[in-house]
Amino acid sequence: MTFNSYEFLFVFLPAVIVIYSLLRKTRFVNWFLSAASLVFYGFAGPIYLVPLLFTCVFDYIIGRLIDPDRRNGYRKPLFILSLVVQLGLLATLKYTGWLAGVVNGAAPWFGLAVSLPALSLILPPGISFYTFHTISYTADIYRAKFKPHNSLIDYVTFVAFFPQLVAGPIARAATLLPQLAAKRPAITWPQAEAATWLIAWGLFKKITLADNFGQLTALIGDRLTPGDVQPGMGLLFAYAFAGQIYCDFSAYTDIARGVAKLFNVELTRNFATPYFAASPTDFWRRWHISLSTWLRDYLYIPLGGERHGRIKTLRNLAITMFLGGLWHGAGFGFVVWGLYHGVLLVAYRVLRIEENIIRFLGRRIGAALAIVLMFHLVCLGWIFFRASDTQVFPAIVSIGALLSGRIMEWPLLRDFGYGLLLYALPLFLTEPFAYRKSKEFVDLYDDWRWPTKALAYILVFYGIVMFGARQQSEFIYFRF
Amino acid sequence: VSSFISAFRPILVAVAVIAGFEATVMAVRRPTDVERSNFLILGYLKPEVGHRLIIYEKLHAFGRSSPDILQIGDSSGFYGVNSELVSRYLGGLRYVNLSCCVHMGFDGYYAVAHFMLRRNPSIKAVVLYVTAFNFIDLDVDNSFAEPLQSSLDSPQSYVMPPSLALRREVTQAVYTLGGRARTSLNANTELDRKLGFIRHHDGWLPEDDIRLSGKALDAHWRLRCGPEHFIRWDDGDGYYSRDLAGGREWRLFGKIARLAQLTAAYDAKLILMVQPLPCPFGGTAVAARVRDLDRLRAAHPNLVVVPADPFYSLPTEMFSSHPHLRIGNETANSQRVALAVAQALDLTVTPLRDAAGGPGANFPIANRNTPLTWSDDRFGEPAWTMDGVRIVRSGGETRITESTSLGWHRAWTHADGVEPNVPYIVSVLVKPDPNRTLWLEVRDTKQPGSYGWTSFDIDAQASVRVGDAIDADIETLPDGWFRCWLSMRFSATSVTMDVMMATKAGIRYGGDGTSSIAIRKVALRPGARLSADQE
Repeated sequence: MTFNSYEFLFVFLPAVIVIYSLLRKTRFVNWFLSAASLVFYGFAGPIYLVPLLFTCVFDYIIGRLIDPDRRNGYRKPLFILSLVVQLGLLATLKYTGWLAGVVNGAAPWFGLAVSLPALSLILPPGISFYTFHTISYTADIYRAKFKPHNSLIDYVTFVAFFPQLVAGPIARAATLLPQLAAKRPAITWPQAEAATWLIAWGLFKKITLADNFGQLTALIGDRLTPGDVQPGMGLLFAYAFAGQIYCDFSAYTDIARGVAKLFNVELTRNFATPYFAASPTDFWRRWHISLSTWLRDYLYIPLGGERHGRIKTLRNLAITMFLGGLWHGAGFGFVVWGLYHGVLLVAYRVLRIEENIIRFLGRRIGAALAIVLMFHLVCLGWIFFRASDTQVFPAIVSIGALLSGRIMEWPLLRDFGYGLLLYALPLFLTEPFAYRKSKEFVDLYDDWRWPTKALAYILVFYGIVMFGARQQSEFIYFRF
Repeated sequence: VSSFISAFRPILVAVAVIAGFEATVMAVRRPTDVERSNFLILGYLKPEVGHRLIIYEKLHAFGRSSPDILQIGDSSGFYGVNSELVSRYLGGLRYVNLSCCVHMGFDGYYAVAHFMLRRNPSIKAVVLYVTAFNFIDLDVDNSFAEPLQSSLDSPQSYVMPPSLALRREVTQAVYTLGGRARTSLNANTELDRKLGFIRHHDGWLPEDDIRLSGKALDAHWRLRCGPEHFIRWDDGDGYYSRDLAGGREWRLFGKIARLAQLTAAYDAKLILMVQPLPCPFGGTAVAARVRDLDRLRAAHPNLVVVPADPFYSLPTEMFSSHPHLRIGNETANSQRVALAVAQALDLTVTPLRDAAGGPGANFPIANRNTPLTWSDDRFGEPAWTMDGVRIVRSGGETRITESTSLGWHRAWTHADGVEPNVPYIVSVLVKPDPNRTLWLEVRDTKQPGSYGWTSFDIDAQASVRVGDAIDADIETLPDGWFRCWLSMRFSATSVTMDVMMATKAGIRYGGDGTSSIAIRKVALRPGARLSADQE
């Protein structure tokens, strides 16, 4: 059951809201919310509930045991145990099969006769997300930044809260748990209307933009064959996927925020016009904000951050981005993508690329060029993220071929180029406004007058009816 | 209330505008339920799958056609049952053929039946016509079932906005920039022609398989019927599903039972007919399936299985491929269906002279005694017009040799004296060039009129018919010669016949100046199919 399914929108969500409203003032409200969340998650497969519930119960107990007030001498070992168990579970379910394949593939190169069993373990949807939820909880308690919670039900509600369970935004216990534990007032009509817009805009981005970008990505990807490298095809591939992943993931976040708002819960923003970033640092302040801040607070800073000199800072950046890439999935593409962003962060710091561009070209043109450059560097990274093993090399060769002044055949450029423009048009029309106001487009809604809002609803409705992709695909980040 | 209205004013206004527009579309366009569905994908640069379009067209055209008898099932019945013939046999009861094409599965048939029964209380019987391979094969893909159910047979399908009917025009206009730029790949004139035929013939389409000949046909039958030309059909676990209590049940038992319950709910009969197999068969599964069907019949009195032991075979020559009767054989098969319906509904069959079993008047087979209407073996100008080719005669052999020009490479001529609306066979004796294929394009000299062509890939022993071509084939003759033929009906008395050379990529190409085909004789004779009994 996904956010863009009829079952969710017209059966599950209304039913949950109605029952929630009836129970809101009782002490059973979080019992119900956690049960509803588990039912939602169980639709993906009841077996997936096992690691989720284990994670909840295990870290709830650890959280109680490492409470600084207890003056427990085993705090540190228990916290490490929690990390080992949670990350071990994640690594076992997510990376074992891949690592076995890598070892088996690499062994002959080193003259080793190794053959590990090719494990094919079930990968629970969103395990990377909820593992990070729980780690933030135990880590904050361990660092005495947060008090352990007294109610297991509240804790399960926090970890499994269905709007953000499968693909984030990655919630901090300090932000979300108090909201869920508190007695929440009834949602007001203006809040409900704002939530409706978040959901509507998210659905439009998913169904009409992301899924159509996805089909273009697949069509263009089919043209990335070693025998027939069309100059520039890799760039179109990267553009298409850039559109797909942004619309897909930000759509999920919008819907998640909208649905959470219906329960009077505010989830964190995850995006802020990321393709207007002028540098890698800027990009990671705008893209998947909940992950980048999580990595900053729970990995980069504990590694030493910027406290131990330039070289170690760069090392910490590279390690953080490598692990950030690996967090996305088991595959060399993700590792290379993470390392690539680590290299970009280092290069921009060492070479002061953004500052130099602006110094040479002036504030207006320089800033614009820095954005264009960063966008294309991000797009190049998306190739590693999305392309299959056989597509990566042709994609990069085809981009390199542009340097010779050649371009792909006109019918291909016309057809794919027009498709990209068609689905990027809504972004071209909306993102600049958001960038100028330093907000997401969806959040500009509050500033509009009601006729503009009504027009937006009408356009979104007919955008979905006329151009929405009819072959549904799941959200990309469900796989992570 | 006022705070609600104030907060939701944008949504309320938007809903009012949308409702007004939708009501206008409903009133002006009056879309059918099928048009108001999400069944078509209509994606950018994604040509609609032909089968999807055929299903859509059938449901659109016949969704509220008030048939008396509805046929559902796979492509065996789509091609093999001529609805108009069945209707005539049944004395005017309307028989609509909604069988189609592949990958619908029993869930898909259910969705079609449910869609039609809900809208057409006139339906007295539903004929489930399927090939026996549905029962034999374990892996029957039914990927079309889900989109059929969700688009046409689900709760949400009831509340789809009427403006969905405009989606085809709107997407085409946007994808093609109002028709100026060719950015859409959805155009297919041959498919359009077939859809038009289906609309005008109550859902039936004449068999249009790629015609395999010689070694290609042998390979096909070896694949489907085995090297001994005998299907061994033994029962096994794969045919059963298990329930929670550990009991096992034939995996199609529940599917057929569900269809029987559905038809019973609409006071209609379910008639199960199985298309005969194209080769002999036997094994333990045959009796097991007959027993299963007997149990089904006992449990569902409205289920009729005709005949009671529905599995039997017909001569392989009657089939064009394992699930399809070769064109011409649908006449007898339609009679078989009509008799089954009459038996189930206790009706009398109307005898028809021109539609009696066998080829008969509708589908004459030409043999060596059939007189030629016209023939030519000299290929001289001016009777023949050369376009990108020249005639070269040497060593007693005549060759059509292509020029080096870019474009067509063909020779054509006219013949007079054909009788309108009677099938004729155009045949040509050739020795092929390994780098070229042969195309025969035949038409009424005066257009608009009949038009069709067949491409003969002699190397692959495959011929593809397009347009009004009824049947075609490649016959292997001694000394490297082949007879390629196609049959067609004409609307006037003069015919143009065009012999074309082509590459695998197409019919317009840059010639090499040397490729050629040896040609011996072009002939025109009455008949819908050419028997192998020729000179």
